[in-house]
Amino acid sequence: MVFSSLLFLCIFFPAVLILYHLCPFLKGKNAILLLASLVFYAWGEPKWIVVMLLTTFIDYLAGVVIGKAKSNGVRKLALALSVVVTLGFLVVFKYLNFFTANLNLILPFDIPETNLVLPIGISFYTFQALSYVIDVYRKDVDYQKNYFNLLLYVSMFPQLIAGPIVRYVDVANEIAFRKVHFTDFSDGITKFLIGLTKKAVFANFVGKLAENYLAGDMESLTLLGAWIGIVAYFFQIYFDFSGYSDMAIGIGRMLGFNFRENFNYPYVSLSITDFWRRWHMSLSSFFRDYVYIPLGGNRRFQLRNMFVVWLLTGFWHGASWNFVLWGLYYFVMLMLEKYVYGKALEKLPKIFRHIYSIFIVIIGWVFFYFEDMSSMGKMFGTMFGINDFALYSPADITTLTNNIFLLGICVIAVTPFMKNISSGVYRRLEKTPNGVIVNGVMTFAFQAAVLVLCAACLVGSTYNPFLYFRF
Amino acid sequence: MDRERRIYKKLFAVLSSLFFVVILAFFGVISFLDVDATVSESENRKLAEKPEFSFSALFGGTYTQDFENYYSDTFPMREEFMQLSNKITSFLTRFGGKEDNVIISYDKQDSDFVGEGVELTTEKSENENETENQETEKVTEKATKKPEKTTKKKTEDKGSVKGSILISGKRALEIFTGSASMSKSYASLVNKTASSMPGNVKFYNMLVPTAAEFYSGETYSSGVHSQKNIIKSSYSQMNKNIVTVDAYSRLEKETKEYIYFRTDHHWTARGAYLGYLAFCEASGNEPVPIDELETGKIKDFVGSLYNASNADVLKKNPDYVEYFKTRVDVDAQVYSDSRMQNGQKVFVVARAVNSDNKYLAFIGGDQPLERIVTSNKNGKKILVIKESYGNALVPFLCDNYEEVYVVDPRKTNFDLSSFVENQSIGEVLMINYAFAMSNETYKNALISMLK
Repeated sequence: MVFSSLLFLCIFFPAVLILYHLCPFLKGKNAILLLASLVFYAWGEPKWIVVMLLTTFIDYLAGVVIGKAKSNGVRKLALALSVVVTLGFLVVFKYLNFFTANLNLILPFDIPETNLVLPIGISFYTFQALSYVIDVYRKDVDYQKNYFNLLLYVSMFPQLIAGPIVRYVDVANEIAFRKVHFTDFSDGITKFLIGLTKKAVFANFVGKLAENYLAGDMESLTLLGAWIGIVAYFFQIYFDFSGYSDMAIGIGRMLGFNFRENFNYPYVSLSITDFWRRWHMSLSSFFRDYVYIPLGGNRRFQLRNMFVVWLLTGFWHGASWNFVLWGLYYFVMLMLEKYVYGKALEKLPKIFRHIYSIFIVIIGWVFFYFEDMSSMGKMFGTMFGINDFALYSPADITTLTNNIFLLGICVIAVTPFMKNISSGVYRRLEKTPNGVIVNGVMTFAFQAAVLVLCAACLVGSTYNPFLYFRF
Repeated sequence: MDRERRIYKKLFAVLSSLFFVVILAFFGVISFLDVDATVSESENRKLAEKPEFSFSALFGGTYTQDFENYYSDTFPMREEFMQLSNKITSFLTRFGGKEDNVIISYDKQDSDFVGEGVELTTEKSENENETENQETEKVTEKATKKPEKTTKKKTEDKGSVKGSILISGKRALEIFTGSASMSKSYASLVNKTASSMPGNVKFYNMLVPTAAEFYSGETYSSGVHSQKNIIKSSYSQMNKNIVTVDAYSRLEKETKEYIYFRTDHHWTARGAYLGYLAFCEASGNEPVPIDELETGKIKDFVGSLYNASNADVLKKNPDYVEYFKTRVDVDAQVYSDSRMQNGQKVFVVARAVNSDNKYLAFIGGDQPLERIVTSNKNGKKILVIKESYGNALVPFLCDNYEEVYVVDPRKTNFDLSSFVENQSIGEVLMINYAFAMSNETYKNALISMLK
């Protein structure tokens, strides 16, 4: 089930909220949430839910052993075993097909392919489970004594299928004790609805525009068309992904959990280094804490460490060469910034730094979008005028004109502009005599209007993709 | 003051929290109590029905998917939400959209542009509504069943095709955009196909322009949008032994006639007849005069371009399908591949179509392989390689040949050249509309049939 479906919105979600908040004690709430999460997952993945239960069980056992064992050898062994098994599931389900397919290209004989289908969200929950075991090993957090509590952490439905990757440390206390205030709940609604709007309105509309150009035949693509397409995709992926994260964080708030932000306006970055501090922060910090620093960080072999991290980051997004290319592209860009022109860049006026960052990111999405290398080549050829192409067609101009509002709103919505305005107004009003009431009414009106808007878009949409089935 | 403020804050938080949950739950409850609609008038389609539960469907993942489709199709106040959604859509993506200046992007996979998942059964039935008690030939669509098992492949050809539709007056037009690489790659496909044929075979290629070329105005039919240029340039790159058929000039002269549908991307039978005349001229056949053919109309056809654009004006002004029966007696059988076993009878021209897609009146729609045996005894045999544009033209060919074979490469896979050799076919006509020139699914499917 995905958040942006009517079934989730009108059946599952209200049912869970009502049961959850009517239940007077925490154990009951946890049980309801766990059960709801398992139903949520099984709805989309009825078979492979077993993998999630098993992974969590193994990591639960490992946590107990590591937590109780006195000898360092035993602790290390338990950690190693659980990491191997947990990652093993990920490798088998996500990468085995890719490896065999590529080996079969080289080898004189054929290894039979397994054709396993990737279970939804496996990349997210595997990383959550891993972070738990490693944190217990590092003594950053106490081990969880109750399997079901750990399962609740791994499977909690808000972040289960599209992130953010929540750390056990961050929610361990809330699993044991939490309280939801109505103000939290209301803030959660706003956050959820902002996320839903990003997904159901912005991402879906602009995504259709992107598909119109990028998923069509590459031979009728003009230079302008190629750029419209990739810019539309640039917006789509941000609104879609950050929308999911916002919904997850919002639902978390409504249930009494405080997840960290996952996106911090990445498209206003001043450099690529800056971009990766703002984009999918839970993933980059995961790689920083569990790969980069253990490898030696910037103390030794920094270049190697960076290479490994970006290779893995790319590969994490999907078992396909284009994602590897995408990761390595960012490795190169980050190294260039670090060692070649980073200092010079900082001296430039801000506007150039924004343009530079956006340009590099847009080029990056070409690697990300085209899994098929020949289409990717054609796309680059058309974008930079190498192919036999037309500059633009009248139809492109009309399409651009028709979508000018959509694109304009997108430009505004990727910046903190709206947020700054609304929170500025909110704070000002709060100090005036009747401001609290005005604020309350406005918030309420905003929520109601946005809910109707999103519902209409969901009912009317023929295009509502789930982009993360490859993750 | 501060205390009061906190109380108000909390009060509003309570209100909005309760409102949110109650309104969602309300819609949830209503959705189970209300009576489900079965047809969406505004979308011209049947709504999803409640799926039947089975464990195999559940674990196969189809049950939950079907249930979600059913749920959103039968959502309470669906039509009202749809209207609001259409308003939002036109605000965001139709700026500057006067009647003839709106481009709507569409997804061909959603509609049946590629004609997939359709199995045809044909039946001779007594049509009770008809006063003359005339025997009616009728095509019925069974959308639920998958096409007959073709020799594997084809299921992976789910390449989606995207494009733009221009609404101009009461007509929808699919905008064509060409490029040099497109005409080159199509020409090389034709060359490859022709040279794979046995030496004595006469090979014809016909490229058909679409309605956009003649009805979309200068802007969308010149420069990169010109189909004339691309057809010309592609023809010029074809080998000398390939006979190119000039359907373009004949269509160009008759644009006042009803030669293209307004709500569908195909040409009409009248348009296809012009293509047939051009073919006869190129191949030295004597064309059958159109006035000598028995004709009739199938009413209320709202086609693929409506399904893709949802433009109201099309729904209000439906097309009709004009058909022309063959002069000679014909018997057509559909086969899944070149072994030609377990044939199924279809009508070369049907008088009624029991499906929204009335274009299925011609040769039963897109079928893997068809063999039409006519009452002619001239020994002439022709193979037509086509996508759906060929369907409307094939019936006319029956008048000139003893046997007409029709293959749709997207639906089957076998060695074409040995088939031509084994059936001692003397002529091959490859007919495509301009959009097929860049349709990778079609082109790859054809390449895989050349050994």
